[in-house]
Amino acid sequence: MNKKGNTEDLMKSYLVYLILLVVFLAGMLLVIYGQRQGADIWSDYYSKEIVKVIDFSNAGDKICLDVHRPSVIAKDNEVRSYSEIFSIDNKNKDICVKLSKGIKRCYNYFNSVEIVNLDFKLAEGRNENNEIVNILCFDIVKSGVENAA
Amino acid sequence: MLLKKGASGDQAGIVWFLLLAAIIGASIGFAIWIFYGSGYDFREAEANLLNYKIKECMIKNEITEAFFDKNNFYNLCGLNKEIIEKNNLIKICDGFREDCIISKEYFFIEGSNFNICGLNEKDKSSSKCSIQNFEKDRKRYIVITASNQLSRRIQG
Repeated sequence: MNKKGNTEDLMKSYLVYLILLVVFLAGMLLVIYGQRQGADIWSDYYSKEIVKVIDFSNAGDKICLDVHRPSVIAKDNEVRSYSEIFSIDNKNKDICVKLSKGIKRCYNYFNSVEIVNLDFKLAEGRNENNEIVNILCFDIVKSGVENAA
Repeated sequence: MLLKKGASGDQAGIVWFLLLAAIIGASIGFAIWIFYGSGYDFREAEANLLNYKIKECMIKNEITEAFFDKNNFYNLCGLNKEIIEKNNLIKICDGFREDCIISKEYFFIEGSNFNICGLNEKDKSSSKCSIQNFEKDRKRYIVITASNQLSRRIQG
């Protein structure tokens, strides 16, 4: 009887440790998953990468970028409209990327060009691994000719 | 007496367990902060890109006094004056790298405080600079560009 009691105590003790371990692991996984999704980090990254491409381009260029990852993150964070994810302000030379509700990251480009025909294409591109991806396409024109394009 | 000792041993075990979990958790949190904390620093790439654009522009165009007239310079090089004034520094002179940073003789200047380009590279708070030189028509030009732009976090 006494032995049974000891075994029960031991089992209870292990159970407490097991519950604590599960709670700890779940917490850590949530933190790591949250960072992996990191809407703020990725919106910062993509706004700068798009600006890099625009600053390097010349009027007349047609550009398509692989934006699969940010579009998936935005969808997970319930930013449904693609025009909301990527916004361009030609007047202020501003590129904004919004991957979570309520916060967007913006960055200026110095190249004296304008971006027209911004088009988000769902599953129309292929990446280097030949996987189907979402792409963002736009044309570069000289500043001041946006209305004519 | 023995039973009490056993119970206190169990409690000590839980305390050690929680302490260990906290140490592991804090280590993972610290590693994430180290990896993501400083963000993606684009200033150096931006300074290099601006420097490249100016260099290409100077190679393509005839360099006269009129070339360095501010409006003409921005127009010929396809750069937006307002954005450059807000986020960047530009200085073009002849001679040598270190002289150009402090020199009061130059062909073109936008902004001031070029001393930051001579500071320690590890100073993360200051602007990031790019200093390049090239020769054209037997003349040596030094182009210094810098960026102090950080992405803006906007509610909306």
